[in-house]
Amino acid sequence: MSDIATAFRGVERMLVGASAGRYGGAGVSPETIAQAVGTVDGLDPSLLLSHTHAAVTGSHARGLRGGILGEVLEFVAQAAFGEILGRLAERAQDWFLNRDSSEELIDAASDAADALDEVTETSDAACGEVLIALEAVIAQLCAFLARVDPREHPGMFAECVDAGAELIDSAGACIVDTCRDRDAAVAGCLDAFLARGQAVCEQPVSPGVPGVAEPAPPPKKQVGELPTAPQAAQEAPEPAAPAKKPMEVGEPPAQEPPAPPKKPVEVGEVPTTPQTVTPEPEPEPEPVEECDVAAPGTEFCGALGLVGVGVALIGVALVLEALADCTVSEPVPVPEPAPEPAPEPVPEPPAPPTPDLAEVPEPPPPPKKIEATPAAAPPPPPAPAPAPPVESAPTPPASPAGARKAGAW
Amino acid sequence: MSGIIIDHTQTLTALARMRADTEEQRQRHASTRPALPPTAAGRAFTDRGAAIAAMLQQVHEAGAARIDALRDTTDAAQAQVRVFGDVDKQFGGELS
Repeated sequence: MSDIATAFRGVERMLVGASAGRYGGAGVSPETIAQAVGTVDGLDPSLLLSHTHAAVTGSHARGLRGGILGEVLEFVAQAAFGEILGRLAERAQDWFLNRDSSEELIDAASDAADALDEVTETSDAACGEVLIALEAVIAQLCAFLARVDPREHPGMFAECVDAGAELIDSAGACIVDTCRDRDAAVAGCLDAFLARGQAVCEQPVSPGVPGVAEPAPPPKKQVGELPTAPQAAQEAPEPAAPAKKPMEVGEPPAQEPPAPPKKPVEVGEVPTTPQTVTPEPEPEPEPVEECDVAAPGTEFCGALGLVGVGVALIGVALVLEALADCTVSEPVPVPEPAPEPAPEPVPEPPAPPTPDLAEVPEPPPPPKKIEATPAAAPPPPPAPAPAPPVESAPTPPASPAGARKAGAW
Repeated sequence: MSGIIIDHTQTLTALARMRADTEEQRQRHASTRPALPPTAAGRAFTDRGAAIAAMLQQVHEAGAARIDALRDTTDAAQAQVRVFGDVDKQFGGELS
C-alpha cells in the first residue's frame, strides 16, 4: 500500500476511534485509494528514455555526413553517373532520415518522461496535500470529540462525527479523482510517444541493392574486332605532324619577297620583270634556311613543294609587275630610253588625217557599182579612221603615256 | 568528354571508407538493443508498455535494416566501379 493509502487509513482509524462507535469507516475505502494510487506503480520514465536511447543512438550518421558521403558521391559521380549514384544517395538519405526521425524520437521520449514525472509528482503532491489537510482537521475534530460527552451532547457529538466522516469521504474521492486524472495524463503521454515511434517504424525501408551482375565481357571482343581503334591511333599522329611542318614551311611564305633570288636559275626564264626584281635581290643570306627546308621537304613537299615555290615566285613576279605598272606614274623607273624615241615621231603624222577624212566628202561612186552592191561598200573606209584617233590621242606628247606603250611593246 | 574524370582508385578508396564507417555503425547499432519492460509504464499500463517496447524494437530493427541496405549498396557500388575499371583497362589494352 502506498503512503497515501496508509495515511488515509490512519485518518480513517483516527476518526473511528474518536467517534465512540458512531463512524464505521470511509465511503472510499483505503483499498480503493491504494488501488487508484497504485496504477502507476512501477512507472519509470527514466527507463523509457534509456531504452529509447538504446534503440536509436547505437549508431549515428555523423561520420558519413561529416564528409565521407560527400566524397563518395563526388567520386562515384565522376566514375559513373546514374544508377549507382542514385542508389547510394537514396540509401544514405534513407538512413539519414531514419537517424533524424529516430533522434527526434529520443526527444519525444525525453519530453514524455518529463511529462510523466511531472504528472506523477503533481498528483502525488496533490494527494499528499489533501491528506495533510484531512489529517489536521480530523485530528482537531477528534480532539474536540474527546472533550465532548456523547451522553450530554449527543447531537453535537453526532454532527462532529458526521462532519469528520464527510471530510474523509470527500478527501478519499478527491484522491481517487486525482489518480484518475493522473492516469489519463500518463496514458496520454504514453499514447503520444507510441504514436511518434510508430510513425518512425512505418517509414518504408529501401531494400539494399543485391549483388552486381557479372561484368559485361562483350567489350573485349568488340574492341578487338573493331578496326577503328588502330585507325584512330594512326590518325592521331597525323594531325600532329602537319601541325609541326606548316610551322617550318610557314616561314618562307612570310619571306616571299626575298625568296625570288634563291631560285632565279629555275624560274629565271619565266618572269619577264627583271627590272623590278634585280634591284631587290641584294639580301641573300636567307636562302640557306630554305635550302635546309627543301632538303627534308622530300618527305612532305617533294616535287609539289618545288612547284608550289615556283608558282609562288611566278605569282610574286606578276604582282611585282603589276605594282611596277601601277607605280609607273611615279617617276621611279628611269632606265627606259629605247622605247621613247620611236613612238614620238610616229604618232604625229597619223593624227591630222582623222579630222580630214571626216570632213572630206567622199567622191560619188559609179552608178553601176552602187546598184550591184547596195550596202557593202560604205563601211570599209571609215574603219581605219577611228583607230588612228585612239592612238593619236593627244597623249603622245605626254611622256608617261609614251612610256606605257613602250612597255607594252 | 570534358568535365568527366574517371578515377577508379579514388572512387574505390572513398567507397571503402564508406563501407568501413557503415560497418562500424552496424556493429555499434547491434551492440545496443532496447528491452523496455512493459511494467516500466506503470502497473495499469503494461499493455502500453508492451506496445512501446515493441515499437522501440522496431525502431532499432529499422535502423539496422537501413544500415544493412546502405552497406549492401556500398558493396554493390564497389563491385560496379571495379567492373568499370576492368572494362576501362580492357579498352585501354585494346587501344594500345
